[in-house]
Amino acid sequence: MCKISIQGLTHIYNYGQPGERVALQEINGEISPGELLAIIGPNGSGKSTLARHINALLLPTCGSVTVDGLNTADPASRWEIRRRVGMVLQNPDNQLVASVVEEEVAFGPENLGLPPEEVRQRVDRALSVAGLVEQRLRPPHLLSGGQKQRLAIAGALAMKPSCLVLDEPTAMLDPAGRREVMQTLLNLNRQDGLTIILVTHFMEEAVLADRIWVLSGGRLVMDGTPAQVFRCREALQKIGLALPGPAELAWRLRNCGWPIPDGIYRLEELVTCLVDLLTRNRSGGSS
Amino acid sequence: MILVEHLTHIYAPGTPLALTSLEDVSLHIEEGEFVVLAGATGSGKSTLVQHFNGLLLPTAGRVLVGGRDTRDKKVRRDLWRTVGLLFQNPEQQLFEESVFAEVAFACRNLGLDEKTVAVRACRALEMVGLEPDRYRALSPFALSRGQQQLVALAGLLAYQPPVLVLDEPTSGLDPAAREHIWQLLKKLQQAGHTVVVITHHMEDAARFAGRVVVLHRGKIYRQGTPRQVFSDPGGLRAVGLDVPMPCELMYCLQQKGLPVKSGIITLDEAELELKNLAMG
Repeated sequence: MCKISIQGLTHIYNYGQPGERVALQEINGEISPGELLAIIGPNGSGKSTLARHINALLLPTCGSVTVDGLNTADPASRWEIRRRVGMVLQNPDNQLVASVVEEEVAFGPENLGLPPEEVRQRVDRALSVAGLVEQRLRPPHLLSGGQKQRLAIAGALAMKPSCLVLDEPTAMLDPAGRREVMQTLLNLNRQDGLTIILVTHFMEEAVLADRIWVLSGGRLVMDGTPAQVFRCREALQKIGLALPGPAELAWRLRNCGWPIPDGIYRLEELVTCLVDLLTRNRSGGSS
Repeated sequence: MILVEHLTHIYAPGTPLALTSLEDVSLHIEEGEFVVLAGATGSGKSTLVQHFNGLLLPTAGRVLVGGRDTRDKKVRRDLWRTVGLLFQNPEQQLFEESVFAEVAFACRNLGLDEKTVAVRACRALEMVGLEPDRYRALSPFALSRGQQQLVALAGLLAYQPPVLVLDEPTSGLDPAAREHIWQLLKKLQQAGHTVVVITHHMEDAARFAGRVVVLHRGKIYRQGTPRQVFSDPGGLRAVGLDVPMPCELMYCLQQKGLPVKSGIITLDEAELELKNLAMG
């Protein structure tokens, strides 16, 4: 399983050179095996920088990042870390290299020098998990955005990682593509126990996580369950974030004296709560 | 302002890879309008808007901007002055070595003097919410993707073309920056600009668009006011889109037998309707 530990992580771009810029400051945290962690924060708050530290694409200026006890700063551990932690970027076109879907997925395992049968097995399994079996012989550039992003996920899965890091994987997708990708991620997390770290600007996606980290100005400013984080409307607004729509509406109504319990942030929860309130109200006659 | 007549666009025509991206699309965008283009990936949105400034030319049909045909080379050479286009991926647009030079580029091409260019560039940076003093000397490539998008937008605003065409200007932006950009576009429209925005954010479309045009597989599938277009959640979902959350909420309440008014598309309207409902 995959346990990630981040201690005193500071990252400074162009350290000691002109244009020096502090991107992360003193980040401390642990991510448990099987956890689905969402990282949210305003633009330029360090989300992508943090994500790139988890599979050693970037190395700490100070502090340390370890994956299952392997330190990313240790060159001898780096390839093993990258095998354990798969990375999916915002724009799938930046990541796809092959001209046929199944070759794309085979690229990683082939590079590991695995026997062909093993490669075949891994490719088939990854394509089936990502729901791309029917598309396996098609050229990637003719896939829809959601399919391309699921292909990038399949490519990462074929390496049998224990953790996936995704940097705004749905930012460029249409609503249907977004739903497909989120459903795939939830299945991987809930059924296969894969650790998932999801960087996102969509609060509707963050509510699906077990835990949320909020970054602002390179610092980790909040760490809690969706219910805990989305209770802090003012603090979130101050740093440029907003509540998910249902939580915002719940807050407004609560503010007008409606007895809506804390911790409502999903549409289904709000619907249930409102139906209950309004039918009771209508049959009871008093407001 | 922009008149699209029976536009068909085929990529790589006459080859085995030929792909019909737009098929017989007709559309009239009037001066001063705020139009949102929506549609699933691959529905032809980006192809359509690239015809507005002559980056792509019709395979069949024609596109007139201010009455002038984009197929005419002389028209096309100056089209950028009328129609400013923001690409979906800012990294395809950025190339200068500093944020300031990037934002000033089109202004300089207009032949403005350096002092005016500086004033305009700084003002444009302020408009998109990037402090000029903090960002002007940085390389655009040292910025986060969201910030790059804001820089690309500032480059457009600095030279103020009458028509602003923006391909997903808020993808990858945080909620505050997103709200800021939509408010800014609304203000520009009120000041007389024609604004065309491609977006997947239906909540924003509901609040800001005067007209929503939905494309599906290269054809116009629906168009009308946000209220008209979002009145059919099933039809939109069938083509890969969503309705705004308040719309969805009202629909769910209706399904549960509550007498909710239809045609609610924004959070403010939903709040009001719920309060009316509670009052009986």
